[in-house]
Amino acid sequence: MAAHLVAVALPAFIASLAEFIEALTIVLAVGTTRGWRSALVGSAAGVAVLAILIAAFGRELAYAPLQIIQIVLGALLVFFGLRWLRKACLRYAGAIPMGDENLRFAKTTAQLSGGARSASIDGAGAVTAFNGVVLEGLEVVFIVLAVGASSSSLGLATLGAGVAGLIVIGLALVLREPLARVPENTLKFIVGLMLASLGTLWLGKGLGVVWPGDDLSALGIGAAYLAAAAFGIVLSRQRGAPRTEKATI
Amino acid sequence: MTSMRKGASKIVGLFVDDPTLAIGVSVWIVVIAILGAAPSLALIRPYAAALGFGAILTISIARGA
Repeated sequence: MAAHLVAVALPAFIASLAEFIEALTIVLAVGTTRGWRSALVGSAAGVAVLAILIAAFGRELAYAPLQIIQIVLGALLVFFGLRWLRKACLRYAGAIPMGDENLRFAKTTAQLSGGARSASIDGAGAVTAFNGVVLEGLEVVFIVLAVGASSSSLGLATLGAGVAGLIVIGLALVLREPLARVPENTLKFIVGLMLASLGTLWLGKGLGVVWPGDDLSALGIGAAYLAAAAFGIVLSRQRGAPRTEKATI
Repeated sequence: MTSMRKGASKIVGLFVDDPTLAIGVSVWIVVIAILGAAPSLALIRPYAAALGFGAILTISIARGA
């Protein structure tokens, strides 16, 4: 039994953990920048869609057109991520106003400490969280089916993935409050960078791009975006006079 | 449903607010897809994707609005 646990549940746990962390990155990013309500609504909708898909198709999900899903959701993340990154860079460059970060920080802290929550849902944020949960969730389903079916132990593979999911949810609860203390524009910059990097990775996978180092390529893609953003800020500053643009994204 | 509509309008809004970024990214996605048709270019696709999107981002920031 112990050997079976190691052979089935452990690989499912490790592989699922990586996917859950990718989903967590996106949900945390949305939560800290666009509001926790949007992140939770998007995530809940994603989990509901996954549950319906699993109930309806079961093992047949292994034949789902993952490439098409990766292209569509990856492209959306690239669009949203680059847009957020661009706005954050323009604030750093002084091309658009920074906004009152102290006021927003106080508001966020009040919300986290049990105060009133915003009743509105940010559509872009909810859609982004939804995309992350659905795509990564589907990948977890594929992992469970692949590991479980090859060893005829679907239950143990599900157990491994389930434990990984619980650990990541715990991690989200721990990280939520410290993240709210990061200055708003810095957070939006990092979030844009992460979303654009993961989106590029997924989009590339969907288009058949073979990434060197597989998922680790997200780090290299992030470094490329970081260099591009830094160069863009320098060029924008050189252009001189501040331009007027809406401060909101 | 309203949230989904707002999400969709954000994407449409991206093309209106920042055509450089939106059109650049769209065109580059097509380029990456086309590069896939040539097996000899397979090795450069990851770098073309990251550097191409990066260049579009730089141009978009430099252009400002």
